[in-house]
Amino acid sequence: MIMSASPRLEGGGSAAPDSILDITDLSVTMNSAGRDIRIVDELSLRIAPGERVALVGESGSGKSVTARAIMRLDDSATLTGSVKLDGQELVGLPEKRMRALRGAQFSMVFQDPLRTLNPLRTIGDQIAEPLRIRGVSKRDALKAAEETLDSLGVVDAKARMRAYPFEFSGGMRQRVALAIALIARPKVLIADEPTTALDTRVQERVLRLIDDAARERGVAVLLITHDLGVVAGFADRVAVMYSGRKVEDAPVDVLYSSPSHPYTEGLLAAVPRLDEDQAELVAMPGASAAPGSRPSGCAFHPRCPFAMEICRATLPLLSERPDRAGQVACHLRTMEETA
Amino acid sequence: MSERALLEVEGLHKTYSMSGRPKTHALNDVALSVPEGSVTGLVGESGSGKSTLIRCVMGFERPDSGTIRFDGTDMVGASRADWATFRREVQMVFQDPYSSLDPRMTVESLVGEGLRLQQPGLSRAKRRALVVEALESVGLAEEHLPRRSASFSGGQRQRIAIARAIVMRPRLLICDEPVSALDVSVQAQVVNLLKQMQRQFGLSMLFVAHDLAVVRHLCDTVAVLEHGNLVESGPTRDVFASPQAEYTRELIAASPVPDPVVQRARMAARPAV
Repeated sequence: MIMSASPRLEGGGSAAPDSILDITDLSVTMNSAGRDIRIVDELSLRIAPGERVALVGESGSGKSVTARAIMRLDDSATLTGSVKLDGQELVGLPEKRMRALRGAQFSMVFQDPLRTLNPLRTIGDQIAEPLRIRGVSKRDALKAAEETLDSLGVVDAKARMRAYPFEFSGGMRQRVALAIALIARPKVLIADEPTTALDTRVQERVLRLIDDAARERGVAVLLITHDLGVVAGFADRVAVMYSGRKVEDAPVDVLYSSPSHPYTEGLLAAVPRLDEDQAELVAMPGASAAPGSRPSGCAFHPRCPFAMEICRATLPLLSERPDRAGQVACHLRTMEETA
Repeated sequence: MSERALLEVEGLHKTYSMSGRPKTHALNDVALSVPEGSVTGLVGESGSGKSTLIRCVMGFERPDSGTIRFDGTDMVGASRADWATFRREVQMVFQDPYSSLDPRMTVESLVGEGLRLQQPGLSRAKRRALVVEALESVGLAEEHLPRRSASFSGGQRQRIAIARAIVMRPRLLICDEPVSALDVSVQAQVVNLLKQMQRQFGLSMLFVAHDLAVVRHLCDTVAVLEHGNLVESGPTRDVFASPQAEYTRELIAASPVPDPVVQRARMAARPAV
């Protein structure tokens, strides 16, 4: 096997010293109506300290389930494979030890901050909580909370500490959620569609905030999103998921300028552009399959313009892109490689 | 495109008052027109007044003042007969195909419902033929007639919703964020379908959206609302090439472009907020 030029793109094996989050062959199974359904199928992903990786996919791709599985947020999910955070194995770790890591080592912001904030507690108390849990005195924790809120551009942070979530707008609530996520100085921030419900201008502001805050603190970010515009301005590297599997993984410039997987290519061609004229959007036929009823072989084959016999029968494995710039799981590319 | 406007809104005002609070201007002297056979985009963020404007046009809400002319008739205070014509000739497609279609109804009854109510004289066979024709024009087929909408994906449901509108042979289609709940790959299908419907049936469309890229792609003219005020309107090409209002410039600058090189440059050119 040819070694990749970029070690963090290698799937499997032991953690390279430069990865802060190292996911190897992670599968997530959930029970639905008495049937076990594999939502995420053997996903491998490595994130270097301070790196920004976007996990892109459409509904049913398993991207959010992956994020929640890393954080171990779904009790009903069965995980196999390995998730290492700074060398520490998380799969199978007792919940009590997970609780100590959440917020401190890695944390998460969600699409809808209203659902994660407690309506009955003041903003200040909620931001201070990750520190309070770790035994920091109330006074010091509140002081740190105020500083964090201030650093996220909240005007008059001192007074706002005593406010309740309902008194904040959508963009301000996302700042509060971000303050809670960052106050204990985690190494990895997982952002699950953090700007999806927000207006255009607020979306831009929140995204910049995450960008700046992560950069200043050296936090690695895993951004979960369906928005290819958001990804373009934010990510260093992009992993594309389709129907529970990672189908492509490459640096952002490479992925956008020369997508290797037909799905990635189709996705990019389907996005309307603000900055150029397009006669017709290139629409992929059909829709992605639900996790419980995935097509055989490559799950994308019914929608793929290049589908061959082998695509219907055999699951393509992730291997290096022909240009060595990343990974792709597509029989067509493997054939080009061996031809 | 002819000069005549099928829908013409002028001087529209709408205020809401809550006891003890100053009146809120939801719409402040808003004008808008949809020329026959063309697509007018209506953009703005939440609270801009887009929804209030649509509600006024549809007659769900009575404006404080102003006129809403459809095919020359002022609909504010119009007769029952005029409203009956309006309800037949103006159809709507909503944002969420999950909540706008009754999941228990079959495709045949969903798409045929308008015909059943508006043209009760139509035979069942004739109605079915029209429903099938509408389904085929949106890429569905006769075999889908007995299926319930709950068994369809989001994109297919939006096709059903479009067939449900198209079957009435409307002159004006009002689309309220019709693709914002859909996946990117499916969104492109529906945008292309709307474009094709518009050409095929010579439809006029009022297209409400927050996604500027979709609007740029689909609309001939565009109107921009901010806090109930119309801050800009004109041919889409001109508005995007040289936006006049500060708000429009802000919206365009804040909308990300799916190209890393371009998008990083756009972000670097913007002062930090």
